[in-house]
Amino acid sequence: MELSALPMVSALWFGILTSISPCPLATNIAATTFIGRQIETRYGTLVAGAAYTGGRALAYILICFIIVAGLFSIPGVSMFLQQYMNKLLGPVLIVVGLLIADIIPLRLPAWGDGNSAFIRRLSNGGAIGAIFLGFIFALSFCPVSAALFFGSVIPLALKFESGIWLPLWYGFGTALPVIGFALLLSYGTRAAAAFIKGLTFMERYLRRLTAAVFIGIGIYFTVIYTFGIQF
Amino acid sequence: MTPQCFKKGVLTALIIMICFILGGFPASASQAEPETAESVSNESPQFIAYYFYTSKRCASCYRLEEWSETAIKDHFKQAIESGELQWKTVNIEKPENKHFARDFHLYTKSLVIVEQNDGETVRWKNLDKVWQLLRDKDKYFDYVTTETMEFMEKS
Repeated sequence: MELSALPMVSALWFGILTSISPCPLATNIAATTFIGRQIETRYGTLVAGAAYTGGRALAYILICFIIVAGLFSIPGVSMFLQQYMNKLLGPVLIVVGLLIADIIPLRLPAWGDGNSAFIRRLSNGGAIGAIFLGFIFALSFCPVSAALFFGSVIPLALKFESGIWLPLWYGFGTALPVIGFALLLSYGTRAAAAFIKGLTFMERYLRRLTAAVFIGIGIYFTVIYTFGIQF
Repeated sequence: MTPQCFKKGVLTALIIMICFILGGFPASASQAEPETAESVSNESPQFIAYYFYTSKRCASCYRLEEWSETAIKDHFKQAIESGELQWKTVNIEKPENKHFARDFHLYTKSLVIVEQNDGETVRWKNLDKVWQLLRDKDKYFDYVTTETMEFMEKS
């Protein structure tokens, strides 16, 4: 069936609807601070935002492919990801927070001087980290995202035989509000840096804030999902 | 405390935590289970409106359950009182209820209307658009009551 604009707009809207619902709020805040702290270069936030979107879209396309290929059923994949990914996410966020705070030093593999410098630049610029975050956050389904993705986007993708474009638009929709807030944070900070002690000081301040947010949310996820303690 | 000692301490705590997780800490040990009408009735109502949930609850899930129950109980008062329609909430993570997830192809918390004949499921419908309408109470109520009514009329 030919893919028209309507299913793509629907997939985008389902993505936005997912993103503004309460259950992915914690991961959205983490993503916003991570993307928004890329203030060293003028387009750092946009690059990290695009990478984060790419990571999310990649995860949704992969799930779509697995389901279309008939490797696993929709309920099987959905229930598995909801049950186990959130349990894993807490410790992952704590580790990422510790890496950002430089408490655990990140030693990247050296594949010759040129490659090593390139990877370090990408990592410092947030692109690799943003792809990783987008991918893992997208896989951490909550009831709302599971309902909208598995109940609305996947059936649309199957109907229109669009295993790439519709998950891509959905991924873009889930990242859109995060990128919007990250841009506000980033450019607000850049503007403030002109008045307060300069960009380096603000970058250090944002790095600490991001690390604190990741560790805090990581502890929250570990307590709630991994240990199953309800308050 | 030197920074080296602090880093070592953090890493040790992290390793202990990961070992603890991989060791199979009981995830639902202290979760409070709400009282529900999960017991299987001896009577054979023609229709059952099921709300299926899991042990981990969220704000949207509570809203979905509350709105669904109100919509069903208020709009189908007569059918509820006569026993033609029943409202049930079921935790699909309990071993005895896991078959519901397979029977109705559940992929998240769901509202499912089921027609039964002598305890056997004849047909069912997952009202899967409820998640899209969680921001509009009127549309939500309208969707649930209309779909349920059409489902019951087809019998």
